[in-house]
Amino acid sequence: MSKAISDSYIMFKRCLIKTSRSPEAVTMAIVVPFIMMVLFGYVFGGIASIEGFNYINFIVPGIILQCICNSSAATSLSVHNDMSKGIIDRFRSIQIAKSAFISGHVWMSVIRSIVITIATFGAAFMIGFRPTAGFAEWLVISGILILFIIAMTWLVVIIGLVSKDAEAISGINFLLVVFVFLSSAFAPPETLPTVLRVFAKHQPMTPVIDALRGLLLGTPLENEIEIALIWCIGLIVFGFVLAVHIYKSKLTK
Amino acid sequence: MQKIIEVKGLKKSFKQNQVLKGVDFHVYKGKIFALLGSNGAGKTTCVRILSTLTKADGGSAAICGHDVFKEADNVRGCISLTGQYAAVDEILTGRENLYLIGELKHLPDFRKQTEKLLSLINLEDAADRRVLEYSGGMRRRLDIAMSLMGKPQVIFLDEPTTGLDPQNRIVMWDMIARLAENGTTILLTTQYLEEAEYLADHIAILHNGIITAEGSPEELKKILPIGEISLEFMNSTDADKARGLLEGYPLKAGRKIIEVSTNGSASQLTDILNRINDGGLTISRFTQNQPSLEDAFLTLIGEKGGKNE
Repeated sequence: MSKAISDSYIMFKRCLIKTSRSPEAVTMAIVVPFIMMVLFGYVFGGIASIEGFNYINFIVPGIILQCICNSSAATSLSVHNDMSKGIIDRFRSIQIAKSAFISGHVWMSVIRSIVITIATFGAAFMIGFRPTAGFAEWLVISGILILFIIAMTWLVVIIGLVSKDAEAISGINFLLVVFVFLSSAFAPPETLPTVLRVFAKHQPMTPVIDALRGLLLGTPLENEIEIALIWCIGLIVFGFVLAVHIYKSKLTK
Repeated sequence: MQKIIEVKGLKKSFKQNQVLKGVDFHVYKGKIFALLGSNGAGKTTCVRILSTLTKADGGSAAICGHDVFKEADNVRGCISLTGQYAAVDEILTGRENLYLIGELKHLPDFRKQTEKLLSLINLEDAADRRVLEYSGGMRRRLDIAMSLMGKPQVIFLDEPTTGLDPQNRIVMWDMIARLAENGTTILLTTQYLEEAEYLADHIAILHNGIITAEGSPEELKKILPIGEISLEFMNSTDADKARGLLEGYPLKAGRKIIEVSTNGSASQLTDILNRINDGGLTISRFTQNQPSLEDAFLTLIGEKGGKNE
């Protein structure tokens, strides 16, 4: 067990060095949330009005999720690169804990997403985001976000494991961003045409966004928190089992 | 001598394609063993099975006394693999690559070993540059150094010089030869006869999924026992006369050239030259066609290939 942890830590350290060697990626990760906030808050804020909401307050949960999706996308690519180049064979022919390779990537991805989430909140505050959440609400918000980040991470690990090339990865990751658009992120789903509305109401982004919004702004909540938690935990279990299965079957080929 | 690798009846198919049809060989401790074969002969599959990366369909294999299929983790503890494509991390520096492997192998003295390896591969000056900036030869050398971390007993080198320029190939050969001097057992695959002949103590030729021949480079050359000589004469009349004088020897006659097959011994050669001399003929050009390993290889492949078809 301790070997699994220390090997995972070594793998994580490798990912961390690699991430820090890519200043463009780090800069983009911090700058993109600001751009998104300004873009959606000011550009669309002028034309969009949602009853009972300041538009900037309204869109913060959606932007946060979008930035998490963006940040996770990089993980797909690094998993894919390691799997397709010879380095995975070297790791495998060493006596290392089997889980270390994947968990190194997962840790890196989760920590990067957490940092980006904090940066996004910072950007939001700068352009006028004023939540009413107290300490207890912030705790729940953090819990939901961390679970959501872990869920997304397993999904992008799967994408990295199964994708044939970098183009396929960016294509699939774009779909994650589309999921955020087709949710309650930027407009209430009631404003969407029927088919999209049904989709928006039954996909994981919507309950997560609704729960975050309720907690942040103090708007009434029914069972959104529970549904959001069920989605996140369900996705984590599903993603974990599937990712491990795919990884193992790739290795025994 | 201790057999450190023992392979028996190794079989592997990919879908309909039977790549290994029962491969047998063994490698003695501290020797360089070359698995020679053309592209697609199954050399890489063989190495991947032995280095626990791919499962075999049948047969058995043991390395350092451990069953490759049942005790894979123990096998991993005593081997290391350098694959066909340099398995180095381009974003990390050379030193960081070595540290990574040293840490993963939990070597207490990995820093010290790293410095030694860097000097062995002559990469001290570039140690803190990212591998991205390395040339192909530098990457290969780093790749091998990463394999040497932790002093494994057996090293697999899958086509260690493919894609290297002649100068870097020589550097690599030197490095491999020096490793064996330190008692490390090396199994290398190659499609270059020259390489196998230069480096290996023992060569096994893998063709059509089986080992078609094996032995030392000298032994393999003896598979072609015929020492062929060719005699060129001034004109066809002399050549005709010579043909008469050399009765008893298998020969092929051209207009002015006669090719005679001998058993390669000096006495036969002397006898041939004496008969020509005694007959009053002059040889304008004499050449001896040494059997190369290449001939042996092609003969073997041709034979076996023919039988199968």
